[in-house]
Amino acid sequence: MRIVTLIKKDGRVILRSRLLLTTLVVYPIIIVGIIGYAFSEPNTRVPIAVLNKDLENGKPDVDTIKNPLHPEQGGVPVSTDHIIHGVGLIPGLDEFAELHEVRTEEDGRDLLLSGQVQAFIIFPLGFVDRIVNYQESAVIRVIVDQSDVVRANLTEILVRGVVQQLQERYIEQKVGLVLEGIGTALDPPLSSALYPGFRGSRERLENLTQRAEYADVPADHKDNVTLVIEFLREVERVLDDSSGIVESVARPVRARTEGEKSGHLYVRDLIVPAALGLSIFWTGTLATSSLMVYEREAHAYRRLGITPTSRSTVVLSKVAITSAIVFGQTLFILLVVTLHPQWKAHVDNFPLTLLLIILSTFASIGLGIFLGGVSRDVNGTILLAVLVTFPMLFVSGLFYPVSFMPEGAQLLARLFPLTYTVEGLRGSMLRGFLFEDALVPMFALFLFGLGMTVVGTMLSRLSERR
Amino acid sequence: MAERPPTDGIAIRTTNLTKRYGNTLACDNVNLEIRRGELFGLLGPNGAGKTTLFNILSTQVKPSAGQALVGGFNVTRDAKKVKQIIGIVPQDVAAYEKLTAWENLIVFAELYNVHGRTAYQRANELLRMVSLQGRGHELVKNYSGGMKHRLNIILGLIHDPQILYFDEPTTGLDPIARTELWEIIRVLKRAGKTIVLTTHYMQEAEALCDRVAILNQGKVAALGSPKKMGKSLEEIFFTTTSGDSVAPARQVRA
Repeated sequence: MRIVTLIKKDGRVILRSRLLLTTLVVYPIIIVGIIGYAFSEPNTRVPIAVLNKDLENGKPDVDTIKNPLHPEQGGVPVSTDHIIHGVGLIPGLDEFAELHEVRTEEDGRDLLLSGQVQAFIIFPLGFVDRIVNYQESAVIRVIVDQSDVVRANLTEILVRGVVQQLQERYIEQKVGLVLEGIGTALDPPLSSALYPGFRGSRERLENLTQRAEYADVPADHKDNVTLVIEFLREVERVLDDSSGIVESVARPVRARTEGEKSGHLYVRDLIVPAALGLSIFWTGTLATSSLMVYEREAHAYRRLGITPTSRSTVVLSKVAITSAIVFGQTLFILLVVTLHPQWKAHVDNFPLTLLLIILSTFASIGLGIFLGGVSRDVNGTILLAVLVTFPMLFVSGLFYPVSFMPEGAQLLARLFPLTYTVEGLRGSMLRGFLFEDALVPMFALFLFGLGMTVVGTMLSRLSERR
Repeated sequence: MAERPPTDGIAIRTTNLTKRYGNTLACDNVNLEIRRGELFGLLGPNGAGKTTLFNILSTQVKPSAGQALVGGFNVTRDAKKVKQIIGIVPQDVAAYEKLTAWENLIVFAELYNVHGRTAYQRANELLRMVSLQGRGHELVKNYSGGMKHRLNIILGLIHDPQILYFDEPTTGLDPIARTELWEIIRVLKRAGKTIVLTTHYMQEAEALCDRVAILNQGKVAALGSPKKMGKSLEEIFFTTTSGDSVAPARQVRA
């Protein structure tokens, strides 16, 4: 069969061309590996400088959060030093933060400006006093290195998270002590016979009204006693509900995040479909255009044109070998990230994922035919492929969500087929897309591939006639 | 090999062959008869219509009017049959540099449906014919310019065509390589091949061709045997192609 002859010929050409072999087969695997590695879970913690101004007095300021109604009952000891060294106790924080204690504000700023830390947290003098009292909030100053916006945002999120967790811990403790105080006011411990509490007072008064001599009490006194009993009953009712009131005032909102479809995802999970899309488009586009242009560079089109081989057979042979390379490469990457114990990539809907890979390959080959139609030589087509692929990297949602981009950029993203590949693959791999959910990306990829193939073939014919 | 219809000893016949690109007439009522076994030269200045005529005769371009028969087959209707009986030697070397000469020959043999032992035998014969038998398994990219041109010729012969088109085959070659190539062309003529040759070199046409046609502005301006034209081919060429108007076709007695 003529197509087999042409495929074998193209295979030999690729295997014997170091440039093609590197750019088509080796490079995508390397680049996908690098991207994958870069976006796997961070193993370095965010360096943060911490200044405890309490230490300016020479020793840590230690105080106790006490029961506001019974300060004599002791409470929870707290110091800034304890907070700083205790932050490691916040679950998971150790994985992300690495604290550098400094002695002065200048030292902290120096570390920040020299890039050795990404944030500087200042615990002001009297921080502990503010925590333990029930009159005001304690303030922490946080200075973030803004020289890298993305990193600054991530650091800010991390620091806010730490402060939030710290806050929640102290809210827990303070609310506990307040509730304990209320409980004590309502029902004091048995040992406290002199102070019976609201409930005890009410019960004592009620017992009094049951006694025989109470009948002799003048009526207006009886009315007063009844009023006091009613008042105490009301106080009881309010205090009984107080835990809910305090809880809702102290923590009016609590967020609980849950994973949907595939459960909890990591950055690496989002990167796998992106890396697959990138590899498909890089290899598909470059392989097709290079093989087409190589044919032209070898002046072989004219010779092929007078053999009984039809033009469609020549184009089909390129499509076949390119598809084989792209499939081999994509399935290899997919297999590695699925089976690798650290990655264990999600593939919720494998048949749909495969279908999207096929359609993306078709679109990438279409783009390759188009580029092959306008390039004169293999080096030129590689350059052109880079020029086309480069903006796709930034606009197609590989690393930054398209929905977060300005309207104009979103419109631009819709022109790039890689956007649909990434959307489709993320849907089929991570969000459990069904066939009907992926109709838009599938249709867009098919249309793009078809359009580019037609235009590219026409351009190619024109180019050969020149 | 396609079965050839009776051709009355004529390998190629064009009748009022015309090709129009927009308002430009690339071929204007060209009438030619090239005999079997003849070595026929097509001469003319740039833009005279040589390439268009070449492309029509090799089925690459369809004529706007008139007809062309190659080996008795119509180039438009029977393009596939025409392709089986013609071979082309393009001006630029049309070979895959990442393949060996042998692999190039086998690829094109298989595209012409010549397979297995027949293809290998044919490849060996052709490599021997152009003295490349010892270098057949080397990559073409390592060949010298002359070797590449010799390979370029035999790639057009792998399916043993009856009619061969040579498109300015010696352009850019040094005198030794040119002489070698002339010798190969003569060998092919002796083997009975019909050869159509385009060239810019009058000396080449005079040395090789049985007959020549000089084209100008898409028309045949002169036609005949260079040896029997009376004047030098160069003189006729300049007479027929100078000026804006085309000199009437000068039929020289063959």
